[in-house]
Amino acid sequence: MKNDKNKKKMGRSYWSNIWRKFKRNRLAVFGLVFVVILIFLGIFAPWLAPYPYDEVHYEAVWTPPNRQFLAGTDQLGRDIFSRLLYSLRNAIFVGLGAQAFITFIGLTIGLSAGFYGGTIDNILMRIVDIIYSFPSYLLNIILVLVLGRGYFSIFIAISATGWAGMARLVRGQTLSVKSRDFVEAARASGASNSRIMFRYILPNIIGPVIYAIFSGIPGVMLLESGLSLIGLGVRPPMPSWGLMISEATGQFLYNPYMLLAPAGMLVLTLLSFNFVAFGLRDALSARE
Amino acid sequence: MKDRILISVRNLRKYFPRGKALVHAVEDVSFNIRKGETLGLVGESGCGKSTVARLILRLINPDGGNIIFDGIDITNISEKALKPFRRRMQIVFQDPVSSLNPQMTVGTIIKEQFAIHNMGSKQEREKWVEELLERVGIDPNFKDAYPHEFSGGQQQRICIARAIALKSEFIVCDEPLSALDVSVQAQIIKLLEELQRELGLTYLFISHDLAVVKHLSNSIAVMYLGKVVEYAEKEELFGNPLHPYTITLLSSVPSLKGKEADVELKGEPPNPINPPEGCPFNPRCPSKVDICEREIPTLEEVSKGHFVACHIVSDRR
Amino acid sequence: MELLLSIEDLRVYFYRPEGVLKAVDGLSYRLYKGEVLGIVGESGSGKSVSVLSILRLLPANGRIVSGSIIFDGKDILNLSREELRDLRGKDIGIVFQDPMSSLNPVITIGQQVMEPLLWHNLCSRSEAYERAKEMLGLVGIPLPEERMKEYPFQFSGGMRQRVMIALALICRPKLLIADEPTTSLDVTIQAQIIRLLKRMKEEFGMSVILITHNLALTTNFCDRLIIMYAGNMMETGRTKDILYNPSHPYTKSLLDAVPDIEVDKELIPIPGTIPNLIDPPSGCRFHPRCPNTMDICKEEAPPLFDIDTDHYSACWLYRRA
Repeated sequence: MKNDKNKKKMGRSYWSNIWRKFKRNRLAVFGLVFVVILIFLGIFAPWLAPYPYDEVHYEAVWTPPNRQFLAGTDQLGRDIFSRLLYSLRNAIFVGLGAQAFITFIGLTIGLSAGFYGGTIDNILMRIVDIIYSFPSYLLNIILVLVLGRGYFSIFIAISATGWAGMARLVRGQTLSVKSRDFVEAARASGASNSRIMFRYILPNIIGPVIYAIFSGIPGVMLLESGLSLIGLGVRPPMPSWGLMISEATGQFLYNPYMLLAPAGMLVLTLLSFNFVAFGLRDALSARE
Repeated sequence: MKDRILISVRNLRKYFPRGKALVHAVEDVSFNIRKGETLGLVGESGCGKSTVARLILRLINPDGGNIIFDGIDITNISEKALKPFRRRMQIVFQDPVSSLNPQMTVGTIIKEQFAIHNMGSKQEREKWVEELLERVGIDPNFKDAYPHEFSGGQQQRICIARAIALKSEFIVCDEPLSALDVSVQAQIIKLLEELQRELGLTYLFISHDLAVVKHLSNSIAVMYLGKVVEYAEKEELFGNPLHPYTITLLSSVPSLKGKEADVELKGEPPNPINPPEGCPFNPRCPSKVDICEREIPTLEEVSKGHFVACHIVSDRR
Repeated sequence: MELLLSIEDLRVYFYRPEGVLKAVDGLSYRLYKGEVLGIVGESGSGKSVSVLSILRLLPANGRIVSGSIIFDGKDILNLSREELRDLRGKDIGIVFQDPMSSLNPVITIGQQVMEPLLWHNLCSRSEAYERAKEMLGLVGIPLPEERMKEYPFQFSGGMRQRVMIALALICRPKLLIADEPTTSLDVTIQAQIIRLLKRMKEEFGMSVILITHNLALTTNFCDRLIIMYAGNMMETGRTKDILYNPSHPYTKSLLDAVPDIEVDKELIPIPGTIPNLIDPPSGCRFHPRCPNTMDICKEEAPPLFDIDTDHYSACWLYRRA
């Protein structure tokens, strides 16, 4: 509206602006492409994998990568490529699943605490403080030990500790948006609490929340791998990058591919999510 | 009709806890605003003028006193009972960027007003939005644009469109010009004047800019440290200021006429957590006497419609 | 009068992702010793940028594209880092709008006021202490010796701005730049600070550049004014000539648009908004809002025309046929 000739450009929303800025960041776009590919690969792993993850080929133990076994085989002759795909599937289900749960709980609690304030805020935030005061890795281990090994326990363990950080973030954002004049103006017009929460506050805090979701996913995946690495993750023969890495460490000098393949996948996945997160952060913070 | 009082504020008080102490943000403030007129509320930062605005609109609850809107005491009524009154009073803030939801188009921002009060059909609302934008000088074709696509002055126009959308009678303008460039300020002043004339609006105009307040107001209340120290019709206040604070405040305002201030106000406003004994202005007052340090002066009518809270002025009479 | 500062055809551009923002586009002016110059303009007029360029204090994406700045015989744009550091704080002092963010919150006021003297090796520590104490007293800080031990947060806004002025003046600079020094302060404090600047000017005799958006502030303080709009100088002349006998339509419109406490008048708003300097209007940058636009205004940027002694206006209305 500065000039008439800019008329065409009008009506560009907050989100399309962010997308425009995000697109300018090449690394972030690469990351996003990889994330999409990885999610696709993960979801369709059962159809894409050349072998079942637990199929044993005794005739071909410790085979280096070749045409038949794209990433070689392990000590039981299982196809590492197929196991990588299944690990990816599991990592993505845990990563996205736990993060979705964390987001839901964190949003609900953070928004209520920030919006209502007072006693509600005090109680909810003390619970968050208590969770924070435990070393979360230890808490994860204890929960997995209590619940038994398996993806479901990992999911529960990670979610149980992860929501606190999200709740804190959401509360902080809510408090800062709540003090903006447009919220005050809506209250002065007689808007109801739920209207203010869902039409005024939530849309304005969702940007940082999405950033937190993306930057949190690698952490969740790493946690899953870490638990599997110390033997508390998935139950073999179910594969996991952490488990595969732990199985490969003894073989590193003789069969390095066994270690490099899962470690490489882990790094690639984590980097992709992180690049998307960084791109989002920059796009959200850039002012124009 | 002309002299009907629309807003009456009686002995309004508000304290904010700050740690263990209490900040006396608003202390015993009273004034009336007649329908169709403008009361200018002036004072320096931290004097409590914005708190008064938020109290009148019941955005915060007072710790004492009464707010009477069109003859009805709305001080303690429930949010539900307040809703019809919310329709009749609105606010325009200082910072237009912060007052518009960045996630909504300009059209939606205005339509929210009708949605909150269940007014009109979809088509009617659309039509009203276009009329309102037109009225405040924004091309209605831009109703689907987002706030950040407009300049500061245009954003303030949109805020004004929102404020008049419900045909409210009373609008609080809380420093509506401070964030705008000088060349744009006059546009907004003009718009506010026109709307007042056409729609018979009543304004509470809060500002630290005395030149603007003088231009726009019918009567003026000067606040110092949470209290009204002087309150009179505009001509009377500017022509015959009585309170020592008002006198120095007026002479501090730079003018293109180039008059040199005859009195320099020493010192700075005291801390509202720990206000001075007696008259709040006594530590800076050029003409203070003993009693000023002991007793808080009350707002007294020294001549018709001219109220002053000052021992010296009262004694002189 | 002796020349202190001369700026010729200064162009300062900011390189933004959306394009090149021409913040200052061909500005020339002179400042004499002992003179007070007011640079008046709205936001985006380039008033601050033009002056920050004198100290070469521009943000990373800002560049001085062309022009020359000669201060006290030295070509500022060709100075080494050391020479530049020597200039800042010693020969040129500066006071910014926001005193809180200009002071270091974790160092005592006394130390901060002494520092310029010590950095520039002008005197011993004990002498610096004495001079800081004296200067804080001069700018009106009561009990300077005690207050030197305190930190910025213990000072009010007005007191902090006094400290900033003491800091800017401690090395007895030849030029004091005051960039909107009272904008964040209340009226009564604003009056105090302007009074103080005037007193300091009389005491030390330095030149002053006052940057402000408030024309009324310049009346009793500035000898000469420059009116800027959208990166260009619109009009310059003696303060009285500009305020009481303005020639440029922008200056006139600005005076008509601002209410004055001493005068009751009808306000005449300036239509439109401040232009976007990435894609500024052609010709005279004020032409889309000007009441006197002619054809030539849209095509060619006007040069400065002579109005009177020391009074120039960049407006085609004053072209001599």
